[in-house]
Amino acid sequence: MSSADILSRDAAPLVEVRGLSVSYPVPRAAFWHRKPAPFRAVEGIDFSIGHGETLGIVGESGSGKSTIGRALLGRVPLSAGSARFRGEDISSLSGGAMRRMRRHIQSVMQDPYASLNPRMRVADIIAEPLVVHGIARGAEARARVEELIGLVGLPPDAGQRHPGTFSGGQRQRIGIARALAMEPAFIVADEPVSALDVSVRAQIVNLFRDLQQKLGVSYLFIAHDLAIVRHVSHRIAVVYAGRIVETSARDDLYATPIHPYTQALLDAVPVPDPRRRRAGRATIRGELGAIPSDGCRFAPRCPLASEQCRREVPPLIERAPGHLAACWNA
Amino acid sequence: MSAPLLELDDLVVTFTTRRGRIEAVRGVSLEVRPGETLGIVGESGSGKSVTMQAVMGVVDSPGAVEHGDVLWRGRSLLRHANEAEAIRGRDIAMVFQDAMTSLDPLFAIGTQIGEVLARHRGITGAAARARTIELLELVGIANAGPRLHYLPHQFSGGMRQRIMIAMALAAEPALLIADEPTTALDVTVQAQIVDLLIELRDRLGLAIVLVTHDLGLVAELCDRVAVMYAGRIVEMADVWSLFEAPAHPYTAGLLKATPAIDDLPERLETIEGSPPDPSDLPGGCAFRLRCPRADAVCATEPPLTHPAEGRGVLCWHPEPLPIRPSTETAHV
Amino acid sequence: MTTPSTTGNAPGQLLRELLRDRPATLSALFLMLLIFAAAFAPLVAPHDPATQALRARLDPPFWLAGGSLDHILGTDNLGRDVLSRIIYGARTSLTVGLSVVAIAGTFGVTIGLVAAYVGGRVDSFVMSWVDTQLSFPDLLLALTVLTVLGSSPMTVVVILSIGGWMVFARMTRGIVKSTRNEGYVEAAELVGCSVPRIIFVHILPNLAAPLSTLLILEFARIVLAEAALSFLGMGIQPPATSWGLDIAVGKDHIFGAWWLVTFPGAAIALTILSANLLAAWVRTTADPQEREKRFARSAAGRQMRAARRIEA
Repeated sequence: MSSADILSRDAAPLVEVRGLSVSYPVPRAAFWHRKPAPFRAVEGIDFSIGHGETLGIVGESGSGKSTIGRALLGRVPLSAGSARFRGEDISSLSGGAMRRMRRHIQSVMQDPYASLNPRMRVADIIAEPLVVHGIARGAEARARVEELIGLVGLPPDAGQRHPGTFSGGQRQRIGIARALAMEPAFIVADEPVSALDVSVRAQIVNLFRDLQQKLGVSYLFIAHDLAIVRHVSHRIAVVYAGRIVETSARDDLYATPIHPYTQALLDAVPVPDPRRRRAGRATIRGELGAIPSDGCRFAPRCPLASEQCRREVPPLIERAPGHLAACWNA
Repeated sequence: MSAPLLELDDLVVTFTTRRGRIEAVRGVSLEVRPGETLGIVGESGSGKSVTMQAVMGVVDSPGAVEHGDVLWRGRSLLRHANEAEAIRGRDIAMVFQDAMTSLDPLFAIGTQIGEVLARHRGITGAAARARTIELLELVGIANAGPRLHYLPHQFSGGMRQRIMIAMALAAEPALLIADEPTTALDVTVQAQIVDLLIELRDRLGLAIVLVTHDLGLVAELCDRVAVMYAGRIVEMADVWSLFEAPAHPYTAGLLKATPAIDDLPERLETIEGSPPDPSDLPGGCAFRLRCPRADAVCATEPPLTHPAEGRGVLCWHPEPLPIRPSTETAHV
Repeated sequence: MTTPSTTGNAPGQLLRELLRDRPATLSALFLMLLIFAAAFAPLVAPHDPATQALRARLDPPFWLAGGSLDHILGTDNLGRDVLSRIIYGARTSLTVGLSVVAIAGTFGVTIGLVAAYVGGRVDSFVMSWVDTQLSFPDLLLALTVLTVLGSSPMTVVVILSIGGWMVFARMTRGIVKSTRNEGYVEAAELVGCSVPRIIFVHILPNLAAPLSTLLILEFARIVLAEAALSFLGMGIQPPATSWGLDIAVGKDHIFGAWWLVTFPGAAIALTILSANLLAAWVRTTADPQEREKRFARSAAGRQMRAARRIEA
């Protein structure tokens, strides 16, 4: 399947996730202890992504946002729920099928310094997917690499150099070029700009936008920065302690946030304008600690928490068209 | 105006490497007055962290201060090494980015804070314990008593940062240098730490030097701002003027490239190119290859001009620019 | 932050790096001399090491009274030329050293690689095996086996190899395990690379520098071990030559004819010292940060700083 197929927007979503849950077994402290309950990193995740669309997933550390990405990439097994790509279940693929799937689902990682083998030349790094999957070799591969280098805005002689000679932003471009080599329909980008300088972040975010327009590729854009996510997403999901607490179309989230956690996130970010400085941006106390076994996971820190919140997990329900939130009291 | 606490006078720090002599800091002069918060903004290669390392005397080989001076209340720290020992850590304290690597993982937090109290203020024993609990409460860690023997890894990230701030304050410094103090923290925790710094500053009359790349943080906390690029300060101004009408094209570009939470979702304006590599700087103005206003004269070193009281710009073509054309938000 | 890697030819660069470290340069020269002497022993040695000359017994080195240029370093109690024995002894030491290191190294690296990549129970089993073998005192075991089986160069090599592979396995396992967590290895897996490709293209190159260091250090250790075994009479047997053997013979004459013990002993000491210094150089060269510090301390670095001060 080539990207041409992707550009024809059919109704079925490209990626569909229902009830996705990932748990990790917790080792017990000693063999005579009872086996502790598994750690539920992510639970009951539902979303879908269409062709040429971006879903931004926003959360802090420990929210499980990276785990969602890893599950879609087949790096961690699902303990419940399903993940479908073009209708096909990708949650339990065998080795060979998994490798074939990687042609269509690629990733861009957070650390541009660690994700490129420092000993390989850039051209070889970008060409590796083509070689490994037998798509192209020799002159054909070289041509494709040149094309990709130009597409991501790297200088034409970049192929012969080693990653160490490039800056962080440029290395991330190399990573993006590598991800695009096989013309995937879907890219999982896990914090792709967090490790970059401010002036470079903007360039890479723009690059993601441009590539989406040009190639029709869909993204799962995982980030902790709500301001960045706004520039690249069509829909946004806010994750807290492994559950989606709010999801909506992009502008609705910022204009009319519903969940208190979303509100807290929006309040917490300092605005680059001293006229709008204010004390008391921290509207919630504490940090993500032990996950409560019952009830809403945000209750320990929530200014609106009630008895019901501590007993029952609020369901994610539609509060306005296309805008879902999971809160009893907001 | 009261006498400055800290003065940097044409500081030059170089690294002797196999690739040649690299100037990380190329003549930085600034001053910090009592009770004021100075922000130092820069990206990678700007030299902002190395500058502060030079102040604290922790520039590691193969780097060395080659020129210039660091003065504390008028006395040179570089020429009087013994005095400097006493001053660093006591009158000037530093807080780093990642508390997990800055706190000793093998010692209890009570012991670590106690060490500062003993060394710089001569407080030991029961008095030290009491003071330690006081300090931890000051930074927002309640019921610290039973937890004095805990190790750093037993605390969360935000709490570790608070502990580090407590350690820095233990010596009752007049100046606190904070190098990217919130970069490694979650946004909600960052807000807590910012609130804490504001409170401490107001309560204790601390002067703060905030080294960061985050313009939002600068807007929130600082009185004056120095923008660094390629080892030099390219613009210095009070925070209001800097954000309203930046004079240096780099500052203007940085502001445009920084997304605000209530931005419209348009394409972000960017600065072309990448932050500078100190080992490979273009001659003349280091920013000229990325600058929309550069021309032939920029191939020579730009002069330092003072377009207004308290403002400095290192540019051939400084001009005040509007930050956000026609969508300026009104006062909130 | 960008750190442009130095372009240019790698061998030339390595040589420059070597010259920056004077002890390492001298060590490299000494070892090369040793290898040359060992390889061309028949051409280089002035005499046959086994030839006895009973009239020239216990002759001192040439600079002492009674010595002659015919036997530069003197002769032993059977009139055999000390210098020639040292040269042929080098041949023994190098042969044993290099053989053991090659065998133990190959076996150890393979085992370590398998353990690290397969993981799980295989890994635990292999590591337990390593720990168990490591707990046996190697020389004592060697002595026992050699006493029972009788010693020959082959047996010595085998027994030392059996006791020498574990450290390679451990190191390999450690590096492979940690490299597997590197971002680019994960990226390679996400691209869909096969396991062999990941091992050979992405993981193994990281092994080159630490393995080189370890090989050199182990070589030194084996040279010493062989000398010890020969000294105790369980290693190389006469008429073959070994530094350890010479020391054993010479110890009875230590007060009268000190040169019998001193020169073979010095040969052993210098070999091991050179190997250690060279290994330290390899380790520093492989680590960019350490390399920079070394440069700053070196003559070139000092020159650079001095030049600036004159300018200022």
